[in-house]
Amino acid sequence: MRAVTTEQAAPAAQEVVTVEVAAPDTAVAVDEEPDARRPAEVGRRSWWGAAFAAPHSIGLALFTVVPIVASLVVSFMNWPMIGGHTWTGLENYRRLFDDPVFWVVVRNTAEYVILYVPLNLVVSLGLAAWLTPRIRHRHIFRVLFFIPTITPLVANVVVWRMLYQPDGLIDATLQSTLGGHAPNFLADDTWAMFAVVAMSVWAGFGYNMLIFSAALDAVPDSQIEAAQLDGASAWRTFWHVKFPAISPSIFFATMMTLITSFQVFTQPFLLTKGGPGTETETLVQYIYNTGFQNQQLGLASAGAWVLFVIILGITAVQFLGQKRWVHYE
Amino acid sequence: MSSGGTRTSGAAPRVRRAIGYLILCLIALAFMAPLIYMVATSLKPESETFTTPPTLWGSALRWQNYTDVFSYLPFARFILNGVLVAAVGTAINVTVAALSGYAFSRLRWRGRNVVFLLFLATLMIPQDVLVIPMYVMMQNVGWVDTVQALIIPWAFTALGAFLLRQFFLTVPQELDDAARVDGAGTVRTFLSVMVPLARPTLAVLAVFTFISYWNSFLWPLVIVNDVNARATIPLGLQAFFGQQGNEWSLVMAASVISMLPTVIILVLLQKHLVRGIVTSGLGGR
Amino acid sequence: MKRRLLVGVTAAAAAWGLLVGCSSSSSTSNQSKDKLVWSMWIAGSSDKAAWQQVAKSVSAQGGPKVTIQGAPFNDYFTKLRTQLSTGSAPCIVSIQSIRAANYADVLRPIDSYAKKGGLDLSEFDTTALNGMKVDGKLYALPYDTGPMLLFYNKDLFRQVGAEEPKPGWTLADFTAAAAKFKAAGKKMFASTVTDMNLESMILGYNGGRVIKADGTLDPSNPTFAKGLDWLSSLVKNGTATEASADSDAPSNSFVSKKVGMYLDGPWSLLDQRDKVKFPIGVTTIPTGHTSGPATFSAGSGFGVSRQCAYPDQAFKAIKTMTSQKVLTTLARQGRAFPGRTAAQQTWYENADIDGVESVLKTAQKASTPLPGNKQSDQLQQLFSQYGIQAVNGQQSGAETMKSIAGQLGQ
Repeated sequence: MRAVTTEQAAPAAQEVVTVEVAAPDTAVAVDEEPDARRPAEVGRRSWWGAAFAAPHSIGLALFTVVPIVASLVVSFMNWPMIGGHTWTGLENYRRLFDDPVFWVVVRNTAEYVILYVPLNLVVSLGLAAWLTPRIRHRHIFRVLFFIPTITPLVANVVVWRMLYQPDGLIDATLQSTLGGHAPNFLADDTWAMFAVVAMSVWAGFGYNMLIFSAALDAVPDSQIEAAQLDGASAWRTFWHVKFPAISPSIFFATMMTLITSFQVFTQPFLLTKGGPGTETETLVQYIYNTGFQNQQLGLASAGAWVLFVIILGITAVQFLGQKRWVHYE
Repeated sequence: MSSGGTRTSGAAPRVRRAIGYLILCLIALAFMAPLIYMVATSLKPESETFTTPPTLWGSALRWQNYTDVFSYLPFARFILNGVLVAAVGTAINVTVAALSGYAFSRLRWRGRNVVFLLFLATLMIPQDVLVIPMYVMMQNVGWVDTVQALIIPWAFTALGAFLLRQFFLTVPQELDDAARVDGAGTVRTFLSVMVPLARPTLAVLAVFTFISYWNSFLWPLVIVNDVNARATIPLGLQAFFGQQGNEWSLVMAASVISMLPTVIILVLLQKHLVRGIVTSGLGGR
Repeated sequence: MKRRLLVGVTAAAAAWGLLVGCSSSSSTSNQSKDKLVWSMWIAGSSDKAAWQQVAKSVSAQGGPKVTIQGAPFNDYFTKLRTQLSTGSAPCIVSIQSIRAANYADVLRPIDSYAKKGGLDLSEFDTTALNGMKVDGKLYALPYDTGPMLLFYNKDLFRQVGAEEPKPGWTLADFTAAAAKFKAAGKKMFASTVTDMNLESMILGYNGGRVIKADGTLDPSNPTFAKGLDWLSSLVKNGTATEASADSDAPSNSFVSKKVGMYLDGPWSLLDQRDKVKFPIGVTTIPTGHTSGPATFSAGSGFGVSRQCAYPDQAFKAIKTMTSQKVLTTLARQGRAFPGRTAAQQTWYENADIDGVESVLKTAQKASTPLPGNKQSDQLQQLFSQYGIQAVNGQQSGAETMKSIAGQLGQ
């Protein structure tokens, strides 16, 4: 287990550490490994351990490891949904990189991530900082802000479509108050991506807010009081005491939000179908279209692998950068 | 009381706090507006869903929309499918995760660390990347458009193993020893000592697994062909956008229905859910 | 604990059984000579009831038992190809004329079956029947057909003082009416970007078309691009609403009295008539700078999948499903405009809308079937993505068509 707790460990393993640090409220009574103290048990339990882990391991191997490896293989083949497949080497990747639309969707996805992640973090951190234990009924606020996060995204999108439509709630409100028309949010080049992002932030920030809120609760009062005694303003207290204390949580949240935002699909798919033009078409929708509408599973696999590599790369960069601002106790 | 405020000596803190609270309430109200509008629209007659100036409530409260939902599309079927798929998937996931979490924490066996690292590594693989190869796989085993294809592929995610492992590591060794003194074997110890202890953690895992099945959209969209027979809620909802023009009030009613179960879970179990999220990073979006 | 575990396992097993058991009822894998599956798009419960009756008529005639496998229209064609390629393809397939060419490779030509079964094809509406042919071979029997029409709000036209559009009206009449609407501060026309609507409107305007009469694509057609520019000028000068990402927006605006008219097909007419709270009128698409056909027509029908192991039975079934008796019954219920000439009178009577018969007959005369193309599914999707930019004037028609052509070339 040592490997898991060192800084150089695999990114995924690092996540675990982050969580453990991010959650000081989980009482860790016995952290050492039980078997370390009982070498006598080793031989006897050997078989049971493998047996207990077997169902999960086999399932995981079959439904995660095999597919991900298979998709790498498929990405080097011409694999239409119907009919035979042939080996084509790097052809799919070449076609992908030659397709101007592919670069457009990569840019769109990047735009989405760049807009969505900071907005999400600012909103969730701001509200978490606001909802201190001194706020009355804070648990009600927490629940309210969390509702869209755990309800079906499709249902959320449906309402927002109605808000964004010409003559929808926003437009109709503007018409009857200011007399002017609202932009045609989902059909307008300049607005469509913002509309998608706004809806996504609304539906998605609750989760990070909860993480931050719990992490802030765990900052020792003594530290805050010490800062206040020194005459620090609330603003200063936040940045110099609270923020460093919860930086592991922020790091963890940033990572997860980044990873999931690269996979955005449902919101643009149902709000705009990727339009107008290809203004809001994202990588996952491109993969979906290629695979299930144009029925080119090989090409789609290549697209999926590009996405995978991008996500891995971003995660790695995150880990390299974290030392500069994340403070572990 | 905004965290951004500075301490000013003159202003009465109580007034400032009241104003801050008011602003917070307004923010919350604005935040809730789409959901309120959803509920209001779900009770309007169809011809009043788009009006200028906008109205919150229609000329009459049309509760009938909620029954119409069930005749307009096989919505009861969607709910049943959703519940069953989520329940079976959750049962499998919780069971295998409890077993493997135990194996990774309290049992010693050859290859344990390597396997655990592999488990963690799979957490890095985004689900959406798996959709294409998973589809090819389902095609090969003839599972396209089947119930098991909705359940099985996502029943073995590794997160649960990690969560349970973390919990089992906190259980004092003395409990094992006591069980052993009573003559219990590994299986008995697991079933009669560990599982009961882990119940809160299992519950958190179960709730989150259930919710993620319940809300899942891309995979059902890809794998279900016979929508009216096999769709789960999100796919069914999307299906309401039919050929004959949107029935907005019905769609809203359906959305409200689809949200109810998870909102009820949230209200009832909020403390446990918060804890689950904080300790594990479950349920992220 | 053990007992509870047992209870849990049993419950899970029961749930599993229930799930697998219930949903296999409509599974296509157990088709047989007397049990066929029919794949159909279904919009709502009344729709379903009507089609259920059609299915029943087959077994009532001594044919096989037909089970409907329904999907909402939006998903139907995304799934169809996948389904038809598997061994468990449904035998009976519903298909739109404009998509027939797209699916000809997974459907079975049925000319020989028609001859063998003694089916008189001349009893079908010629336009409808021709729409179902690809390279001279027939792939489906049409159950409905119809030219694209304009539905209008009689109250609104009276209110703004515009003359009610007569069948065969011209671009000049259209512009005159639009001016009246504008003077009253109203928009007359709901913009659309659905492929067939867009193409029909432009065909009427200047004869420009993106799919040639022989079915080949011509995305760089300059006349069509000009047609797009005209549509965007309508938006700019306030005649038409801005196009929306939502394909149902035109119908919504019409129902909520925001616009005076919008494009639709006869298949929606009776549904809309019941939905709106004003007298509904229909008219043809205005003709502009063209002497050719002024609108496209399209329809839907039933075909037999190539994978089907029981083509004879399946053909017998679709023959019954498009029989005079069944189509008349459907017409009486106010479903789509029948694909058989003799059943059309019943539909007119049932429609009970002023002048609908003369409008439809005029429109049919002025219409040409919209030919299908292997890429028509993709074209439809591209129009819904790029058409918005053209109609709302963010891009010129020519630029838009260039983007579309680029994607089609892939």
